[in-house]
Amino acid sequence: MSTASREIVTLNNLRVVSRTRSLAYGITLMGMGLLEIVWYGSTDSKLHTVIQFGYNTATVWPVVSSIWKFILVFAGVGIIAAVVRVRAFPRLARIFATVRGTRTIALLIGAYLLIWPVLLWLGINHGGQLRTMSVDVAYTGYLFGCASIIVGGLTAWKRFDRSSSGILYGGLLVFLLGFLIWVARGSLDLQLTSILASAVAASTFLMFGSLSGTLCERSGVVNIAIEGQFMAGALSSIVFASAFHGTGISMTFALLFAGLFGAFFGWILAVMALRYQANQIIVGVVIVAFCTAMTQFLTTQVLDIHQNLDGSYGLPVWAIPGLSHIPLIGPILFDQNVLVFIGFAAVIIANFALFRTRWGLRVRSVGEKPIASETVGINVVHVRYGAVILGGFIAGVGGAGFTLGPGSPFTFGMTAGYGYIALAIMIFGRWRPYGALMASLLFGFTIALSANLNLYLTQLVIPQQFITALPYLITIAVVSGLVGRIRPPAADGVPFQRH
Amino acid sequence: MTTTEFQDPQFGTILRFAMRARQANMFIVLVLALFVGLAFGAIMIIVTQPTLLTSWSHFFHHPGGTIASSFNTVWFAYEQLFQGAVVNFHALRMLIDDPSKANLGIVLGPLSATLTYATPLIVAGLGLAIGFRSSLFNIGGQGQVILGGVLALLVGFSFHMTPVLQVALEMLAAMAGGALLAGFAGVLKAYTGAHEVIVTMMSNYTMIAVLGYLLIQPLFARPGVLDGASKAVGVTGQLPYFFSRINSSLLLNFGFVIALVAVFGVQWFFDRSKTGFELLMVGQNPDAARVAGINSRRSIIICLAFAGCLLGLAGMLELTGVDHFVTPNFGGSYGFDAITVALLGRNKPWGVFFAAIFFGAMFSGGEAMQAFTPTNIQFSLADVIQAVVVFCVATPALLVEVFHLRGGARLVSNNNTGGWV
Repeated sequence: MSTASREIVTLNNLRVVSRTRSLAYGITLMGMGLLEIVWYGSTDSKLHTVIQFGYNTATVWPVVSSIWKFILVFAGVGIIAAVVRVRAFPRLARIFATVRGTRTIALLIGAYLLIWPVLLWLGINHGGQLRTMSVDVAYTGYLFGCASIIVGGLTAWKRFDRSSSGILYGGLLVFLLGFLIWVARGSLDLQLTSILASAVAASTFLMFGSLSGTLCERSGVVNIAIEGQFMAGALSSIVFASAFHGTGISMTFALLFAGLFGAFFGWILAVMALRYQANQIIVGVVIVAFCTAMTQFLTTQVLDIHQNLDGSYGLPVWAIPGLSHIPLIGPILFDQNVLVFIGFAAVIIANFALFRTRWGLRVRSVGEKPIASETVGINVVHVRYGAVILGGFIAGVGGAGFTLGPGSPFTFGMTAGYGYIALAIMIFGRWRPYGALMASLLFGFTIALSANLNLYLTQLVIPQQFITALPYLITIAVVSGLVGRIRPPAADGVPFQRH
Repeated sequence: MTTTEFQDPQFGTILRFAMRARQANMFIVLVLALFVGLAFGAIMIIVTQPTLLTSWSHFFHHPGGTIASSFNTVWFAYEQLFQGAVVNFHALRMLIDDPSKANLGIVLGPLSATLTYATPLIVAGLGLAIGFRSSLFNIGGQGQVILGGVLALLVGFSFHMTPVLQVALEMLAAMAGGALLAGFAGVLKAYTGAHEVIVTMMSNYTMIAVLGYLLIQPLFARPGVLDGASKAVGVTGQLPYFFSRINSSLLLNFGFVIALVAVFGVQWFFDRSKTGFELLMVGQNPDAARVAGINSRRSIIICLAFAGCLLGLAGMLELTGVDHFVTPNFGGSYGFDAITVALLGRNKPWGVFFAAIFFGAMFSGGEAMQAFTPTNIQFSLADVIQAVVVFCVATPALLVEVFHLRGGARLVSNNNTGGWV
């Protein structure tokens, strides 16, 4: 195939491209599997990894009597059967039809009830102790290596389209799990639940940041200033909370305050991009430069002297009553600080607002074809102002996740480029809130991994610096097309001029 | 916009001058931007000084005293900023009274510090300006500076050749390193559509990690100690100082000449060379460039590689001119400062040159300000002032509107950012 013909998107060219891509991914995965077999398989076969499944004994139900187990399992079977055989019950079908997504939720609940005893067994044993599992490292290497090779073969077999990305991610997950087990081999326990819980916590600000990017870009404005909005939110929230000694109400207002600061910089971006039609990337970069300089100045000039303004006040950790008792999933998802729950809620609300409301339709149309929107009477500039300021607010609240989330004082440079990673996550999630949520959980996992692997550093062969660089390298891989063909909003970054 | 009304005899000279001053041109915008930046910095000084804040709480009791004390503090800070950046008048007076070598060294000190700091920044700013001119946003200056510096260091301590040859080899290594890293981003952009902002940004953090790894390896680490500092460049690989005879603390070196050559070279590249014209064309109108038969992929890769080349060179100048060895935070904020330098210089070679000198002045002046003001006003205030100035210059429309400048439309270029793919 010649270079010239690849420029034209024809069905045949797409086939060739996707075929090449799937071959490349498949061969890479198979190579990784082979590496796993050779590398991990050759480790001393006496080495084990102890995986700790339970996380927080206080929140896990100690023991559930066997009769309840059976009842719940039967209930699960019943729900699944009802969903599967839904055509047999016309009345039920009507109920399912009226509320969207009921079927999925019922399926999830049923499946969960079914595997619940297994999960409980995984989490704790009869004595209420944390259940651990001892895994042979050499066998794990063979097992996961073979699994990676099989998945690689499957990927290489067919054309790369949306259906095969699931297989690819599954293969990557298998590889990562094998890697994790291999890294933690030896005496230390691999606290799987704890790592996963910290992954969710680490993905908080990424969630907010990518949501902010999604909102702005859906309306056609590139918000590269998320990093600056993070900084502003992180600094302002901790100063506000510290000034009022971290009382409950002051934490609430600190979050609001952080959001308002983010919204202020969103407003500046909006004015520059919409009123003066400046280059949005330049404005964004300059806002980041300004926020960097300001936070550095305020840190050295004010916070270093008045250290009572830079305290460590963390948001309260809520264990959601029924849900946090679920083994394995409870401590991971439902025993977190408030900001995580706000993040989940924000993603759900944003998805509903973008795809189910009139406002969302307007935002999306303004980002795709502003002239057409103008023609039907939508004020393009107003809609974009709203989206960008709201996006700034969200990013500011996300910035509070750096300080108020883990309850640490503000240090200069603590945002560490996560604002830019959030943009990559937005691309990874294909400009959709749920996609952004999933991608930020994935990135949160790599961040938590690179933070937690320091625990096992003594046995680590791979230098710590490379594991630190892992999220960044993955980001590069993501934006260079690992996720397949990406299609941004058509008018993304294009200033709108009324004709 | 006609100018006939200004020639009207009923306009007095002063009024005519005032009207001229309201004509929007880059000079007026620069002056106004500097004014706005200094004003913002003054507000920040007043807000962060507890004593001044107490005096402002008694404003209605003592308005004159409040304003005077605020003005004095701000004025003193800016005076130190100027004296640390350009020339110290007390030292000048001492030199006139007693023209000795030591006094000459003190007088030349601030200017030498300014130019020394500006030297790598000139080259780095030129590199980014090349990218900006063809609408490529290379945010990865830091990573490219690091890679260039590391490769130059490798050449610097492994060979002991004649000085000219070794410096030339160091330059080549550094330029190749920077070009490789930025060219990689260019290849990704050209063939997969990965946006260069994210790729280069991520390459920064990756390079920081790689640098941290390299510095604890026996090849680079100082023998015996693992303090994170590398071996030093050999004497033959160091750039010679200009004023070392006057005072050994004057660090202005031959790198400044290299930077000047780079300015001329980049100007030639844009004004005279075919490739430079192509890059300009791709940046200003990609569709027209494609119709004219310019290979956009090739120009993207060339542009980013050339930019990376200059950024690597900046790393080499910083290494061999000043530090002579590499620490984990080598390259510091050069990557980001260079972005703002390029924006401030409006992507023109000589504009970048003077913008870099302005940044160097703010840096050396900021250090003097921190050292000599009674409450130690931190030198990051200079960064704040710079950021405000750059904000105003990068988006002149704001100043045009706020100060009611005439004919501002010329300054405001309509730029498409053009999404991510």
